[in-house]
Amino acid sequence: MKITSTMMENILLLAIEGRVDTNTAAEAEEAIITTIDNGAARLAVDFSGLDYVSSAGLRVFLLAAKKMKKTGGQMVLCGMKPIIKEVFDMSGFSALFIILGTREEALNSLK
Amino acid sequence: MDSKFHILGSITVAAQTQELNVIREFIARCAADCKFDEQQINFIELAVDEICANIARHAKERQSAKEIIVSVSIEDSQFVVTIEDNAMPFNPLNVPSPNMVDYFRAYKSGGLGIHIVRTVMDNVIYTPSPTHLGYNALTLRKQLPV
Repeated sequence: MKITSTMMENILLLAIEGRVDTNTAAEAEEAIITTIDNGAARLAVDFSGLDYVSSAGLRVFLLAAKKMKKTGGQMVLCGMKPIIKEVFDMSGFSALFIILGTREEALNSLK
Repeated sequence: MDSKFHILGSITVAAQTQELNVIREFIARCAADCKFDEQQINFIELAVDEICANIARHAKERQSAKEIIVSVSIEDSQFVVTIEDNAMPFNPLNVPSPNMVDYFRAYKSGGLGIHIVRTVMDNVIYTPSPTHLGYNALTLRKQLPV
């Protein structure tokens, strides 16, 4: 798993690649939560490089959404491959997030 | 593949989270051999991963299970995965499925993994070990693609 962070016009873009599962969830959580704790008020998470997510990974994104809500920030997810979107839909997690198609749509929605 | 009972394979690994990738690759290969599509392969892989991750995490915390045995067979047009472990008997099906609204509020209320397993598989049965030295088994079934 790899997380790349880029600041674009006051919007923090996190691109997650690989797998977020039992073995990588702690690392993902630390990276994302540190970002939020450092004051990211507008966060776009790009899933276009994400190949696999298990419940351990879903919990990380849930924690991130909860933290963003608490701090009054905005968070959107984008670029999900169909197999990832199906996991969000099937588990009921799609209802908890703003999920957009492309990175551009995500960045525009946060401007 | 129209035989009523057909064994596809079996894998035995240490009950450690580092072994989860090996299990996932094995399951994905078996599911692909049975012509499931990409989405269904991912769902089956995910269901098995959730169960095995749970066993491995508990094994680490409580030194319970030493190994996990995952077997795949075809029985009456169903893809059948049996996951056995030699931990203390624990029935994951007793864990209630979370309400997503409450889940969001409470965070870490648990039960998400087994909720996923129940949702993606057609049938899940738990059989505890008959003796304290034996193996508990969780059997997951899914109808083969037509």
